Amino acid sequence: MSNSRRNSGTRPGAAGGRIQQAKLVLLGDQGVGKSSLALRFVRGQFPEHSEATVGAAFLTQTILVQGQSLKFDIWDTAGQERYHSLAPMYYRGAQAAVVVYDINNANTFNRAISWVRELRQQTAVNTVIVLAGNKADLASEHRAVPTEDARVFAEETGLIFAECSAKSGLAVNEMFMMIAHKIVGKHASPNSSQGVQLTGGEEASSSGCKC
Amino acid sequence: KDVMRTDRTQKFFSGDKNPNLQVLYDILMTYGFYNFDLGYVQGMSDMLSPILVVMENEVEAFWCFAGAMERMCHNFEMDQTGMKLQLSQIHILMQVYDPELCAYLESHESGNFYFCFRWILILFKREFSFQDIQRLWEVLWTDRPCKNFHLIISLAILDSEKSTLMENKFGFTEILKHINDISQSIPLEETLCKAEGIFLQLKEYKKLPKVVKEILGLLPATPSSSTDSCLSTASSPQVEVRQETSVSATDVTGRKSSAPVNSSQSFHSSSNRRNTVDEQVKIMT
Repeated sequence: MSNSRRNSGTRPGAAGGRIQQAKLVLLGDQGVGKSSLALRFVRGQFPEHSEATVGAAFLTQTILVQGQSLKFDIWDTAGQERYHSLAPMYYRGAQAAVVVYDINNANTFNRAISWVRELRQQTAVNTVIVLAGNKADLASEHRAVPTEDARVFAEETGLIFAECSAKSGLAVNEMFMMIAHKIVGKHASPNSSQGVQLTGGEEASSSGCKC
Repeated sequence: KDVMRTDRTQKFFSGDKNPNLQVLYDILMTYGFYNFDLGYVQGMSDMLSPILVVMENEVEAFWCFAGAMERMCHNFEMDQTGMKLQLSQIHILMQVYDPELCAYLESHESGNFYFCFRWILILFKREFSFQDIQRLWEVLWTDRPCKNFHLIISLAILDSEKSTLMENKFGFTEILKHINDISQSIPLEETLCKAEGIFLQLKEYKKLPKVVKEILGLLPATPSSSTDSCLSTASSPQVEVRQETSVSATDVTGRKSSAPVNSSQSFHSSSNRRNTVDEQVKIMT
């Protein structure tokens, strides 16, 4: 048995500090914006017509959290139900899973709920699971999933909850930072389990808004 | 949904109100009804896009697409049997062609060859440039120099990456990442030449196992079964594939299947099918 799948661990960093590694997997229905969230976080970009993911994509991003470097190995999966059987290969051994839905499409929320159930059954208890309602930039006109419904579900199941927008950048970095804090595990803010609050202030601070 | 995000960087599909997007959508929709049991599966739009660019005409593109899907529909089945079969066939071929690399992959949790999933699912569509993919598909759809030549292409690419994979001691994650990352940087001509070389080597190998001959269609009497259409309401596609699976010695889960090599059934006239494909190739050239 090799150690190759152990993605958690520390090794000397370039700056003399330690780099901790964490495997993160993105799950959710097709077209909800999994790849776009990853790209926004890793490259700060939002391609208008990114291709449907086939198989899985892989990205990395290193961030500084509480004075420590944390390297995310991000596995981005194909969303269509047909490819469900591949998912366990990607989420096994993951420290964090971001389950994405489109807040303008109720079906994708139901799919997210079943992903959360599956993860709870199949992964370690301490896996950080995030429920992410994407496409918040369209919500004023098209919202189909009330924030409260999602928040209640997230609280009941012990998830981090965030509504975000890969397009505008809203709350994306904050969401990943929250995961990072959870993983690094020291003095995580007591509010962190309640999710990112959508406020005008945060929106204004988000970068690359194209709306 | 996928229509809006298929090859949008290509001139043919670029721009917000490009009418070709509607054509792409219509063909996929029509195919969804034409082959109702299969429906639309992610990856199909990737297969259609180059065909539509070459054919330009909606009707012709549809029939070419339907022809291509006859060869590939097993890739898109609900239970992934077709994909698992082909990945296990790569495993079998690799065992014979390069036992060292094969053993390495096996000992690094990659013996199921799932890192080749995207290659096989959409026939390398994402791995090569738009120009290159037309050339590659043209080659593959001739079934020359052998059946399942796309599996040999996989061997050729892996052979080129062997030293990188092994010298860096890549594990499960790194192998998958590396294979994803070499997309769009694989030299096509070199790969085709190497693949042909591998095929000739295998063909001349005196102790070539029967199962490999079967995969490559080198057994004279047996008609091809892997191209059997799943466009059939009478016979369940799953059953057909399961019979094919008995050909392979080891499946993805590592179970040994000792069932005899099946003599494949051919409900669908294979000559008809061949015609469609030949016609298609002719048109594409």
